[in-house]
Amino acid sequence: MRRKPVARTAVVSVVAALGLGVVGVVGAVPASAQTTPGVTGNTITVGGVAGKTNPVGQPYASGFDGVQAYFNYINAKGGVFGKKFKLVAQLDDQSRASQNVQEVRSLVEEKKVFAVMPVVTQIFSGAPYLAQKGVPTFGWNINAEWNSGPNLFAEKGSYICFTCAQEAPAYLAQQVGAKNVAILAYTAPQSVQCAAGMEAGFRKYGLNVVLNDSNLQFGFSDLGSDVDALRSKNVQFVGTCMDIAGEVNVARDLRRAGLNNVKFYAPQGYDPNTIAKYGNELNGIIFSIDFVPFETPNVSPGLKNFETQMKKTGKQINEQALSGWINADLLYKGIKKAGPNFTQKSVIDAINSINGYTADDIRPPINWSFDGHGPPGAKGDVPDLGKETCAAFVEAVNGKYVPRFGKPGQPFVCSQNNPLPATLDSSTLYYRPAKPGQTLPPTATVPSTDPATP
Amino acid sequence: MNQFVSWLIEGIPYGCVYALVAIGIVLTYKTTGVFNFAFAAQAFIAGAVYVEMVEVDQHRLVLFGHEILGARAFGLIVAVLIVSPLIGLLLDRVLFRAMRTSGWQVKLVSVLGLFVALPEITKIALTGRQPVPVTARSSIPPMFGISSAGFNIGTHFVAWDFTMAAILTVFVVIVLGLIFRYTATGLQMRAVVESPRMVELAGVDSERVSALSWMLSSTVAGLAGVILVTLAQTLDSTVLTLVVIFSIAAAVVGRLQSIPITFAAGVVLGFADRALPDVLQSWFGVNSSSELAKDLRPTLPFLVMFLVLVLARSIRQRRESADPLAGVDPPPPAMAHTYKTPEIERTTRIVFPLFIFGFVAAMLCLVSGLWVFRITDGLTLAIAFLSITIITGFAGQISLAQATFAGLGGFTAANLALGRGIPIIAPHITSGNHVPVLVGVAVGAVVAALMGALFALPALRLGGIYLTLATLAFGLMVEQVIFNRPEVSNSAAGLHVPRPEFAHTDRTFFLLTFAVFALVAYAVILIRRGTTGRFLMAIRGSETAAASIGINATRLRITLFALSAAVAGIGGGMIAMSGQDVRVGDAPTFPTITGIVWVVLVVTLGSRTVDGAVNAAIGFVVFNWLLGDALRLEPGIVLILFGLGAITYARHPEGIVEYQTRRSILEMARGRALGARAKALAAAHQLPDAYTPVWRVVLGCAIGPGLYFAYLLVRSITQLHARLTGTAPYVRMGGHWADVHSTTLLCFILPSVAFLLVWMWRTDTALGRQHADRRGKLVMIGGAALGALLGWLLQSSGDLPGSALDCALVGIPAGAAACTAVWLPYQVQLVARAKGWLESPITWREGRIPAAFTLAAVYLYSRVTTDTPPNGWPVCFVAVVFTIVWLQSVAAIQGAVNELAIGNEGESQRRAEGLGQPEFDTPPAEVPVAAPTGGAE
Repeated sequence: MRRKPVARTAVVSVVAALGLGVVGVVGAVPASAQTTPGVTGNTITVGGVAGKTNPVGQPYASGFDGVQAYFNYINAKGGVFGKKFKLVAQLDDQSRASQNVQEVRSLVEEKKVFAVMPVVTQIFSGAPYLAQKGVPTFGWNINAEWNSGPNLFAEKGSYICFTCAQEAPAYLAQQVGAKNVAILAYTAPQSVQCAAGMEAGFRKYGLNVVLNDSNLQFGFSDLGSDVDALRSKNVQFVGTCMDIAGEVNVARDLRRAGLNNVKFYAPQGYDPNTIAKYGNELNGIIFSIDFVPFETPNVSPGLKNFETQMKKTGKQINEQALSGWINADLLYKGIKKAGPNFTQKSVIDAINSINGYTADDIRPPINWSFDGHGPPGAKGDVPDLGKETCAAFVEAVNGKYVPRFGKPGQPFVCSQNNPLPATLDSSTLYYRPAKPGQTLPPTATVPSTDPATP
Repeated sequence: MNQFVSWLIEGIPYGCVYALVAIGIVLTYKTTGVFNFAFAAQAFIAGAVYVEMVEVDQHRLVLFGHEILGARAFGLIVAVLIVSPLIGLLLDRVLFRAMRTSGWQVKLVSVLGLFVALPEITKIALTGRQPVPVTARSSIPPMFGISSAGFNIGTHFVAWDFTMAAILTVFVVIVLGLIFRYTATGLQMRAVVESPRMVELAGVDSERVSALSWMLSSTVAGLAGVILVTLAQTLDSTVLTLVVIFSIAAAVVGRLQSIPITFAAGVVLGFADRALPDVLQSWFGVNSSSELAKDLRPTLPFLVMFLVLVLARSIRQRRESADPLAGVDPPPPAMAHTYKTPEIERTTRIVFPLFIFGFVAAMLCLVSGLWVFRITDGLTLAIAFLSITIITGFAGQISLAQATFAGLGGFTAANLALGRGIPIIAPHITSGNHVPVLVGVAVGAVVAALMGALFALPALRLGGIYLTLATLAFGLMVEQVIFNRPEVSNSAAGLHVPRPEFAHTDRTFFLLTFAVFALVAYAVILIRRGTTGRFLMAIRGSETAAASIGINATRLRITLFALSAAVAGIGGGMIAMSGQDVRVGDAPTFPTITGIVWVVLVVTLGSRTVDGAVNAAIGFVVFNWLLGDALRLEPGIVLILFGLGAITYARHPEGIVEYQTRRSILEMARGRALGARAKALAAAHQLPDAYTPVWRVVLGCAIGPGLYFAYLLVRSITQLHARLTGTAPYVRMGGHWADVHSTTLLCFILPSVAFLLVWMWRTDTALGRQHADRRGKLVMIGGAALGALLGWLLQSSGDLPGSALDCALVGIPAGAAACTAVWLPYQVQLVARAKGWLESPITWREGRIPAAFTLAAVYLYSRVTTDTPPNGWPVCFVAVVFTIVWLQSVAAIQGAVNELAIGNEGESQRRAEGLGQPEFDTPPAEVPVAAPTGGAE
């Protein structure tokens, strides 16, 4: 007797049918008596999705570490309303749109989490689904999709505009005394959009854009022609829309060509691990960030706590981890505000009523009731609230990050936004700490409703 | 003049890097006949080894207190001169030696498999994660140890690391030139590519020469990898792949043969890349941010490659070097359906519609919404894969642009549905009106078909690897020039693709997708059976012969590309609708590299049939979920499995599924013949005692797992009832219906495991009496000891959960069974040989799969140590597959033992004579025409 394919086919068919049937049955079963997904007598389950596999080698998975560190901290204090947080899923969407949709659906439909957190990915194509389902969602905002619905909360507010004129690079160019500026970017659409926004900002504030080269190849590009152009046109400041390896290559090639005094602006890449690796290669690169620099934790109790808790987990401190921490903090405060009988909707509503949210002075205030989900001044009927844009700056100097352009205790340089100020000078710019309600211009008094810290 | 010097000084070093990579590609092709797409993967491995060694910074050679070799030099030597040649040797021994006489398709597909799998293996082995941003001055300085500075020529700065790269490239060119011109080995290398068998007739050890070729080419790849890693300052397989793809243009200019021309082409490419922006600016007034500059500069190498391919007469007229002894190769096997008996045909006719009906019904009524979404996603992918069935399965060509055609379909459908018109061609055609998305898909298919035909026109004369390269160049150009445009892809934000009103839910969209898939699949089957399909198969065999019987190859080729592009376009539209999103930044959705992965997936599972496309697509989706989400393995594991699966193409060009189906049908016939013989012998009371019906053994082994699965089913129904009635104590406690409890599981399966071991022991004893090896007991006990030791070691190193005793106890039966699963077929081989049979019913190779599954199970078990271990029905699914594989193995061994006991020599002898097909009541319906030189089947 030998194997019989028909019999085998039958076996496989039966197994497949059983499998499908069981999956279906499980999926078709109506929701149990449990009315709030992911909440049991003593736990609140959340799950997240990150582009762990991504083409630029960024540590997106660190978002999970930040969330876990915050949960450890809160759970050690007894949780919230007697319930402890549990991070039950850390999925990888491989930076693919269809995979992202599948993963967020898996979190909601299979793992039945209370909140999706964190979402740290290049492509957040699952946003419309989450918005439609009304699941509280938290993450790191590098995607325009974050303003798809009132239940999506990103760490820097849920609105981002890639092509809008950028103030930060123009401000920096002015601060370093540059007149002629250049922009270097990859051919990737994200890079091209970033370059467009940067160019608009430079032009608005009267800087001479002598070069905008947005056709560099990712990874290995001959910058010879750009270097020649920068030298011949006496460029003093270069804005980049690239990954950190690209930025290092640009800085290196310019230095090799004798352009030692050129400063660079990098909208991303600030990471303690990066400076440890690249050392002096990063010299002259100025990073803009929207949280208190890791180098000055004493000005922010939240940041100090974050660093302490992260040390306990033994994981790396970086922007993504901090984002996860802020996400978890916002969820915790939302639940606290919603009360012991909280539901997904009540937590969303509670968060959307919070103004002046700073995550315990880690970042400039976000006014969730007002413009957390839209551009500055989106709801014009609330005067003097939320028209603010802030950034902190750090420069890489001899293997260290050095905070720049802020004041002691006031790391953020801010301006009123929407419309953009006509000039970037002392009449329109001001310094501020993360704490709300301090050192604001007379017209911008933000009432603090940041809930009590845990 | 000064500017020209500037271009030379700044462009040539980059050109030399391209040249080095291109020379490596040409060298491999010239000495092994393989167009080495895996070059980037080999370079990546060397780069990774170099980085790893330098970062560890502990390897140095110090003599008498003086550092002779620093970490960098040590890393360079190990990566380039030790690891790289070993990789070459390994590739030759394990893979390419067996396919020296195979056709170009077989070699190409195998290399594409390596292209996909090797970087993932290296990442997991060395780093366990994706691209590793490397280094910098402090940890990875320029590899030659010279300071980061350089020197000035006039006002131009020249960096030392680039200069050294250029010098090394020139050195490599000279050395290779000397080898090929003045040494016998160089001549032998080229000769072995032409015909190893002819070379062997002249007394040359072709295997040694082949190994040498691979070691040499791998060394060049390693050198290129280390140089690129240090120059690009990043260890990223994507970056290396892009550089390799750029460099292919130089290799093509050198016609994949001439190293000096390739070197010159690489240098000119670097020079042109440097000069282009200045030329555009100063001569044409086009600045670097203009659309023309954005289109032209990134596409320059691909444009050059495409133009050289379609215009160069020497390439157009070039024929693949043919082995004069190729005719001695056996013809490729016929397709499985030609072996079906009328009985199987009848069964299929009844079962297939029932299966389809059951499948659709389950999807509509039972399956969860998420799984409907996942399977629908797979089906949309399957539609696109059918385009590969047409072009590769029917016509024997390998196109790497199918994902590009799918992208054309997807973007066209999305733009039309959103009222953006047809970008570039007719942006205002719809005047802002939204076109129904299904109409958009149809228009997308037409646009893709037109582009396919447009591509086919200049590429008419190309064949073999050159056509494949042209498709690669075409795909990359379309990606850069069309997909990157905001008016096509809406930049990074992408396009939200609506679904039709009537199919906006998961289930209704599944129905729509299924209907579209059925229509396309039916059309593909009609094409295969019809005149076009037969003509395509004819030109695959011999274009000249086809022309002699009046087949118009020109028209047919245009039709071929248009058809396959149209199918890909439909698939692209459906993919976009399924995810409701299409964007250019979504790396794996449409770009050309994805096209390579698609080809690997389809040919691995079967490029000749619709089943192959479906299996590849659904398999990809399900495996992604199972291994990534459910079992939490590295995401690259799926690519590794499929990539390595593509290597089986050399042995089974019809695809794994097709091969297994054919094998299954043939074995069924053999089993039936054996059964009839046993019945006749039993009737005559001559049935030997050694004969044991297979079902008895299988039942003994299956009863434990079977009862356990039945228990799970009953438990789940009970719990389901409890959930529905609101009394779900188990679920309320946080449990899951399919939770696997090890104690319960052991209670159920232990008797079966004991039965299996006893059966193995007795079978080995029985075979030992028939002049087999008598050391079987030793093997079994040794395996048990090894399993126990492994369990204990893994537990003590923290890889396995539970106590050391538990792990050792589980290791005993696992080790004994795994070793004996390989040993028993080997014993059967010995007995068959002792009996004088020309072919053994089974070989030791049969035991590899159950043994490998056992090792995989141990690995999966080690994953249980995570905080949230895999559990539930994914684990059950894996357990079911594991059980089936083992039962199949047991059945195969017992069947072979029975065959030894009661004869069936006639069958073995007939197979050994190459007759291949069993005796059927009626002959197979169709005997396929063999391709002359191992073409893609």
